[in-house]
Amino acid sequence: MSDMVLKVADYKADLKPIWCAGCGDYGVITPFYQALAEIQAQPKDTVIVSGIGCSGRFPYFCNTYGFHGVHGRAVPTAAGVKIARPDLLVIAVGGDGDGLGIGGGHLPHVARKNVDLTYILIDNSIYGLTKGQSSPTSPLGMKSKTAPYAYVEDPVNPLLMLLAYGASFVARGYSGKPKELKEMFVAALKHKGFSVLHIFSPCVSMNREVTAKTMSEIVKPLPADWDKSNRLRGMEIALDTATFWTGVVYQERRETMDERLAAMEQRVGRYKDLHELFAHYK
Amino acid sequence: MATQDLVVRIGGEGGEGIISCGEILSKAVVRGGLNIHAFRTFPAEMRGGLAMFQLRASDGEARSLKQSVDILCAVNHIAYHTYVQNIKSDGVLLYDPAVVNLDDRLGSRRRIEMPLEAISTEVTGSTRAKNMVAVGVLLNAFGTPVEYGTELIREFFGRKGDEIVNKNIGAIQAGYKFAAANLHDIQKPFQRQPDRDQILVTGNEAVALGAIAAKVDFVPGYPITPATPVFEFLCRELPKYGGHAVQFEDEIATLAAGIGASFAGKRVLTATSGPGLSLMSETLNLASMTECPITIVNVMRGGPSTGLPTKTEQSDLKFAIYGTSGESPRCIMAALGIYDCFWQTIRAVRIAEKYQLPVILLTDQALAYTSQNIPTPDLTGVELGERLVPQPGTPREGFRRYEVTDTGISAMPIPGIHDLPYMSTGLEHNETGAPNYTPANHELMTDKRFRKLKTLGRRVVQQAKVEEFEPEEAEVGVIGWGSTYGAIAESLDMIEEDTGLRVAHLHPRILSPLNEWRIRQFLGPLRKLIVPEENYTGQYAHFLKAKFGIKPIEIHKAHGVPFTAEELYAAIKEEL
Repeated sequence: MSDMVLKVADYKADLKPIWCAGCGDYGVITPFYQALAEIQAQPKDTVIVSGIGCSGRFPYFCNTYGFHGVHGRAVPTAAGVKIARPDLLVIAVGGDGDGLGIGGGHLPHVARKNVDLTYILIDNSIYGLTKGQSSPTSPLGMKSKTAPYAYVEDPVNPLLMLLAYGASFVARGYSGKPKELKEMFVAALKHKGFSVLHIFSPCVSMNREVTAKTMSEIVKPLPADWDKSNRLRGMEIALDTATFWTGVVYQERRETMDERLAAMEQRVGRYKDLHELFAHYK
Repeated sequence: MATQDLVVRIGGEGGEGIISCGEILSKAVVRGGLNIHAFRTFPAEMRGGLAMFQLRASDGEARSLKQSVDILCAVNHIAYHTYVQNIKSDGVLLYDPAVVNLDDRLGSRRRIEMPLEAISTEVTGSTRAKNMVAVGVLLNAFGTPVEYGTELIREFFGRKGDEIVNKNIGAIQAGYKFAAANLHDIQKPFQRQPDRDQILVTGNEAVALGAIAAKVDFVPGYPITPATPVFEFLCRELPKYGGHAVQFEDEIATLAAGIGASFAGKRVLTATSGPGLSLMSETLNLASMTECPITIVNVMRGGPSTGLPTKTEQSDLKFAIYGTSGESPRCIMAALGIYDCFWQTIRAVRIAEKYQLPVILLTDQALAYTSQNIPTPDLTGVELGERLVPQPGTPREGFRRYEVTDTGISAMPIPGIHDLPYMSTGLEHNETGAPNYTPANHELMTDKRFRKLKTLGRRVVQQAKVEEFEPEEAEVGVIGWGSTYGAIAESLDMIEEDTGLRVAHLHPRILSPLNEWRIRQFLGPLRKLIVPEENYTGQYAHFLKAKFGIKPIEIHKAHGVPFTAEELYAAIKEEL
């Protein structure tokens, strides 16, 4: 298989996506397939790990190795795959509830470890699979089944968090802009280090307040001459909540976890057998 | 000739070098040709509070801790105050008159003034080497030549320079000389074997060595008392064998990363304790459902909640067997001694890999912090256990990762190695890995996963390797598990010596799946069964009662400290 040129269709599993008609996630997976084809990812060497939620179904629709774990743990599970096997292409996928709610505590740690994996954080500001409860990115005042009188909490700012945590590649995209998304996926997959794409993907069934229509009014690509090396400037646009700026916001080349571990092993050296270790206990 | 035993307890202020005194002494005594069982307790504080080191040396088997001691070496007053009643009636108190005030609880027991601080100051110019003076005194008591101690000082402190080495050696020699003049009559006529090929390790170290021997190559971890030393050891040594030990942000991420690495083909082990195991319970289920091999060593401590982090208890058994939602097959094992910690770790990893399921190996704080000399393990011919992977050339078309087989075990492709991409999921799935919630499929796949456990159970019966002492004429039997082995075995020897009655003893290492055939055979001729456990509710006894409909006599101890042979002797004898 490896000497053949792989086409977009080669990355599609037999199982077709089963999201609701009009779900933003279709606009995410299509450019994702295209990006895999562009970088000629080998299905045999690719692992996609997901959490729980609508977006957690992502790996079922991809013709690669897939691992659908428990709620909120896609990122540490994927980190385990990558640290153990740096030769694999590793991708984690999950939603805003999975990655910013139940699993939110893992993000700073995978970011500072700079594990060389790509995390696709698909945000719809609602719990869709469980049919309409508030999420960590639901805006203040939004009604949901768990906020029937309007939400009394402020949302988190995923972009600001990821920049502050030190993710070495941070991009923001919108499912309504698949061409732009494909370029971002390619850049993220090629990036050495922890790359995150925060992608807004409207939920047509459960979220009546943050919709394709409201998003289309605020989505705006970053200027062509955007300086990706300026983290502080990135934080400024993250704080501009009136506009949903899209594009690669920040990127730096920093040693990855597996590079540092490999260097450490070099320094430490090898024992030839167990007897070298037993000798310390004699 | 009867075996000889000498039990010494050293107590003092935490941070004063009590533990390092005990460690040097232990190693010297072992090199000098005796068997030891050494136990330590730490104060909860970083410095201050009472630290205790107990060293039992024997020319027979030193199988357990002892309740009463031949020598109490009280380095401060609290040690005297706390332990004076543990001195045997013909035992000796060694105490520093500068810091210990005797009272009438000492009774007529022999006492010897041992001016540790004064000797240390005289020889080294400061009181700081008083623990080394104590090493010298006690080396003499054990009849171990002083050279074994001074040689260790060179090994331990050689890098710190001649001045430090010489001061410590001076302190040891002074202590030795003091003892030769003042307590020469304490020495026992030990039969020594100084030229054995042995190592001196704690239970935690034996587990970590076992992990390396088992060719574990990925160890995710999160620090937790009393399991931390296993992880620290592997962080230090595993890179030298090409593996990774990586610290994660909590036990949830730890096990999640472990499952990821296992999915990617690595042999994975992690060590934790009760609260950590609690956090792992959801991910443990995931390992069972996705059939990813993983070994969790659970070093039990006193619970519940934060409980008694530095104390021992056998109270996580039910949680290990039944904890977590749904019904997820896993294998539960318990190591029964220090040597066993090494071998059962290898066996746990082997079972995890062969049966593609999580294995929880139970040890406890008592094993974790007990050190014993054990034969240097010989791994010749030991089966490490390989995972079943697809045959080369297996076609992608129609490949079933979760194929239902006679054993329940199905071939697991490894990413990057096998061109058989598949979906692994915590959702109920069919043989290909696709989600499927139909009643027939759920039944089929539940049975497939549990069939692995049945296969394991059958093979365990065939191997039937359980520690046992089972004379045919016994009417009373004891079933124990885990670290109580040494104390039970020793108590039964004491009973036989005392009454001539032999009591049968079964001590399974694989606790679940239960070796039903073996236990039924053991129960057959018995009139009475006794089940001692270091917990409040009798967890293993519950399990046996539910399976066999029997009513054992239960002995519970939930004090945070292990059973002693003397205690069990008294309790079991009462039931004869």
